[in-house]
Amino acid sequence: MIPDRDPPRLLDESGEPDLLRDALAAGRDDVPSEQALAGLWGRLVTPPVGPGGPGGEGPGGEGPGGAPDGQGPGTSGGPGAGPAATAGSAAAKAAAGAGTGAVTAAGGLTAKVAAVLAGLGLAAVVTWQATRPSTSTTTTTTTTIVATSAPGDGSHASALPSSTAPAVASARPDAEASAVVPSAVPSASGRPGASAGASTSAAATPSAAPSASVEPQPTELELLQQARAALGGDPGRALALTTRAAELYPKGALGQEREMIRIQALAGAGRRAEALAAARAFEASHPGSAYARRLEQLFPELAGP
Amino acid sequence: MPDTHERSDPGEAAFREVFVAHAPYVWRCLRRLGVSPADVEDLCQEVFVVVHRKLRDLEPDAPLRAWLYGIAVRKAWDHRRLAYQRHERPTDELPERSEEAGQGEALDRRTARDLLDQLLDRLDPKQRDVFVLYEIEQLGMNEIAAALECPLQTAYSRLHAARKQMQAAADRERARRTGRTGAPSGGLR
Repeated sequence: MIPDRDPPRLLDESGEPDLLRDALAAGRDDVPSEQALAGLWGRLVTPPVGPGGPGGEGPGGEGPGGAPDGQGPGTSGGPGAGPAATAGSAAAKAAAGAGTGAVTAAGGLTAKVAAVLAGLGLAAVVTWQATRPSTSTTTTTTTTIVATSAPGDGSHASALPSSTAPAVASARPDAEASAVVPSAVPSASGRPGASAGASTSAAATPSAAPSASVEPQPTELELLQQARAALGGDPGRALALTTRAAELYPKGALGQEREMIRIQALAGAGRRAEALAAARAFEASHPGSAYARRLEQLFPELAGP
Repeated sequence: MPDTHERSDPGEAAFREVFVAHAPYVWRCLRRLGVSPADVEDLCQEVFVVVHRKLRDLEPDAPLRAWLYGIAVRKAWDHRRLAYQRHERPTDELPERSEEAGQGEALDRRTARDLLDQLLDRLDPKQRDVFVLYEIEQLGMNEIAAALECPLQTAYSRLHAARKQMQAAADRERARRTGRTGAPSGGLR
């Protein structure tokens, strides 16, 4: 009694407008915003914390608890290639299947997120604590995710889905400013999914951003990349870079990330009182932020009585 | 910029790739499975923490989407159980706000989405899983059976039942709307 093949999907049926089909289409269009996804990624991967750096001031559980988890995956590089290939083909499939406007829009969104991630995820050793009572986690678990991406290391960027490249171009009009992301472009074009991705979501982007117009002004992403990189060794510089980012992009999409870097830079520079004040201000102005837990790790006094 | 960090790890690259390629859809799927906007980010995070932990052990030729959505569906189940224990109960009546459609031609997107969620809320949860994965996430029935770890025939039965109920509910809703407005509107057909 099992049918030979899947029945036509309701959304694929043609004909006059239909209440249920409208509802399904609206459901399919309902993908999260770029900021929401970047926030989610930020919760999975947060800035690197070196010994003696700002993170050292957090509660003791953070580093030691996460280390074993991080070590395991980090040492066995080989098996990862399998899932990578699988994911790649799945991504290509998704891009190839992007027939409708809704899916195309979603693909573009994915590309933008990829650009943000490629830029911000410079490197990370991250701790995530699940303590929310509303979820299935009843005990506090600590999961450390180690994600690294060396600047200029094309292998990481090239692992992102093919749609990354055009989006990166659009995110960074001054294409020659940095060596980090452009390395993704040639390698991405060699991937099987590259043509599918380019033809659906973002093909128009590179041509729309003429490479001739060179802008000296760094992008928000670049400033924050540099600031984050400076956090460990030169908090003063990190601070200056976040100030610059705030001046150039007062309403930038990465405001919360900028503020998080600034707070850590202050702490790293020994200006703990200022850092704490900034952290309180951050919590007040971003209630429920994805970074709240991270701040509470850095400043246990924020966690309340 | 000097490279002060560990070398890039292919496993991590794979994780990023899965996140970038699938996170928007996992998020969307969780919403349609009844996770509230307030909780969806948390739950999506839980899903990807599991993904991160287990991705390395996934067989290279394993169906990635079935695996990923299987995790999401189970998280949604846990979440619904807890939400039910807390306070939230689905209501039988469709709220009046679904009346806001108004614009004549097509339902505006938000109203349409609210309506969809209301209709989905009234499905049997197991039927809802299959319906959402098939009609919105567009997985194949084989993938769905794998994700839900149920026989293919069972998946088909649930899809059939869900469709029937969704169509009937949509018909009732349409009738209610045309009754209210007094004149049948082509856009709501």
